[in-house]
Amino acid sequence: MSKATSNGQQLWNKVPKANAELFALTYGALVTEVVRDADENLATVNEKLEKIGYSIGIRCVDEFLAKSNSPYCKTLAETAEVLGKTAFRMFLGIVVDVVQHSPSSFSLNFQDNPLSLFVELPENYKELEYSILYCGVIRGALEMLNYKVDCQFVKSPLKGDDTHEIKVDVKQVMSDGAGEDYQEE
Amino acid sequence: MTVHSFHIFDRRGKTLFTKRYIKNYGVHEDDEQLSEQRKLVFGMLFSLRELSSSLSPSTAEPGELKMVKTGASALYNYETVSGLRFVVYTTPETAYTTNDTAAQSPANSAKETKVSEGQTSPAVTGKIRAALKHIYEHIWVTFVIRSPMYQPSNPNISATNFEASLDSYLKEMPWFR
Repeated sequence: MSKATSNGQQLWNKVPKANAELFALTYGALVTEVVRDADENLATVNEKLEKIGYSIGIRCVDEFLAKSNSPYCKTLAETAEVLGKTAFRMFLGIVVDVVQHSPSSFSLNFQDNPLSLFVELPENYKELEYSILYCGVIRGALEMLNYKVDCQFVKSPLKGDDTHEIKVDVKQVMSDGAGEDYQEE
Repeated sequence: MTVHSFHIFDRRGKTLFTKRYIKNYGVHEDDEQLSEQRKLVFGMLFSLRELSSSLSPSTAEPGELKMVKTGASALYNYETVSGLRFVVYTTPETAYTTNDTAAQSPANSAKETKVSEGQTSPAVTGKIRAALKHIYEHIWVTFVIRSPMYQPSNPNISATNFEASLDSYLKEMPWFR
């Protein structure tokens, strides 16, 4: 068992848990509400859900760093490992496989998805990315760590695949230091 | 040892939070000067870290800047992976340290006494850095990050309990005054 995995396991044992069914149903209610708000325009729904995820991501990265004491990652491979094995385990309790495609992209594969516990998508909703929230969370969290990424679901059981796969492409690694804000104070 | 001021910077050098605990009596400082000072502090920390990481061997852990000390002051820095810098500016501790560390283990006391003559004992640096870490993990995350109004560039700290909790935490510290 790698260090990231055992660390994830320990953290999962420590964090307070919510009832899985309640969690899945709450998210379902949220998605339904967003669908209603967007007048069933599924592209808008996906965008909104992703944005909600993003707002979660920029917050939970600090929550994660504060609790996990994860070592400093020097390469994207290490970051991906910590994201998949430690962070996903800590927040969702699921086991994720990390596959590195290239120095700038990797995939997260997992079977269980706590968000889509009771979900089946009707025919006319096939365009809806039900769990796109994850993509937003990953994008937000990695942005706080200076990675600008593109993140999308390439496989989802809701669309007939046998497993979930989230693909993360790093577009840009930002640098620290004085930006425009620096002058403004 | 006395705590003069406390700052939090984001990774771009923006001041997210700043508080002075001791005013510079007799010297008038307006907001512009203070903001200029903070920019210099951030600039110094940033450059020193760049320097230290470019000097350290590439295989080593990235050079993290722990403290900067001059005759009149000491500045302790704690940096998170998400790029926040928690900085506390103090007068350097003096003989006070001796009692503090010698009490811990008699065997080390002779050594510690020697160290504390005008030097900074690692024990105190460790304590202050642990406090800064605590502030990040338990006060910043609890009050600021979890606030619904939180935005990374403009965290709206005045709307939270952050300042009150920070003050009460710092005042409990034996090294605060």
